[in-house]
Amino acid sequence: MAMVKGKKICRFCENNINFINYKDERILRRFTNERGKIIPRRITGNCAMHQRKITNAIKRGRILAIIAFESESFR
Amino acid sequence: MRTYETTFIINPQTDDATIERHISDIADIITKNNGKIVHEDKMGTRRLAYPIQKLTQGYYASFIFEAPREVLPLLDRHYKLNEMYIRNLTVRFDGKLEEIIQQENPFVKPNANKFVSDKEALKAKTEVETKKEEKTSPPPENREEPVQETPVVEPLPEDNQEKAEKTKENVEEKGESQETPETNYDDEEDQL
Repeated sequence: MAMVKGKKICRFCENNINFINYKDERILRRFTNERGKIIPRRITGNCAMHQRKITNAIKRGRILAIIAFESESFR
Repeated sequence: MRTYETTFIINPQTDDATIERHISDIADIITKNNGKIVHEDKMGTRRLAYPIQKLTQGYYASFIFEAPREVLPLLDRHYKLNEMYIRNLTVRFDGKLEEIIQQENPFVKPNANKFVSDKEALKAKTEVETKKEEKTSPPPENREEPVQETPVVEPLPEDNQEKAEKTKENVEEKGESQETPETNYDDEEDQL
């Protein structure tokens, strides 16, 4: 509650990035937590369009074994 | 005709010639059916995020191609009939080609330029050009190393070393363009 700093701005809009490569492990890792779950929009601060693109990219990355579907190695 | 991107993983437990043959098989299917290959990318052997058919490594390659839609079921059939392809994904390609080609191989080295805006990238481009010649030579060495029984831990320190070298160079030659994205990443991690 007290963590609210103000409105976050979508990083992809700021930098004018419109294509998210599903083969780029680094980007996919950024938007998943240690369990491999997709981090919600309210935390990442992405706009709807870019969150959707990231979600798609993560799901494709999972199919291609670039990131894990889930992992229990962290805990 | 639409632009598609097909990415596949080949079982790496064979010689290079068979891997090459399986890649060119895909290319043949596309070109023989009135398709045109726009971009070819052999990303090389990489550790899989989870084991597939008890394999822990896979050889990744991808094609971006323009083709009539009749090609897609043919590709699918080829993937299914041949056990050497352990995974495949064919999707409509909706990015810009130039962006893809500019990007370095994400498997070899994480791209720090992701968050640089286009204008900055263009500015930096002229400065970087001399460096790119240097950059293009190291990746092939890195690609081969993981094949030789270096499973998980080693790629990371290499990247760090490279990064460290990179930043050193940056400080000397051009301070702004490549350092800004890195700070971006750091800020982000603090927030999360």
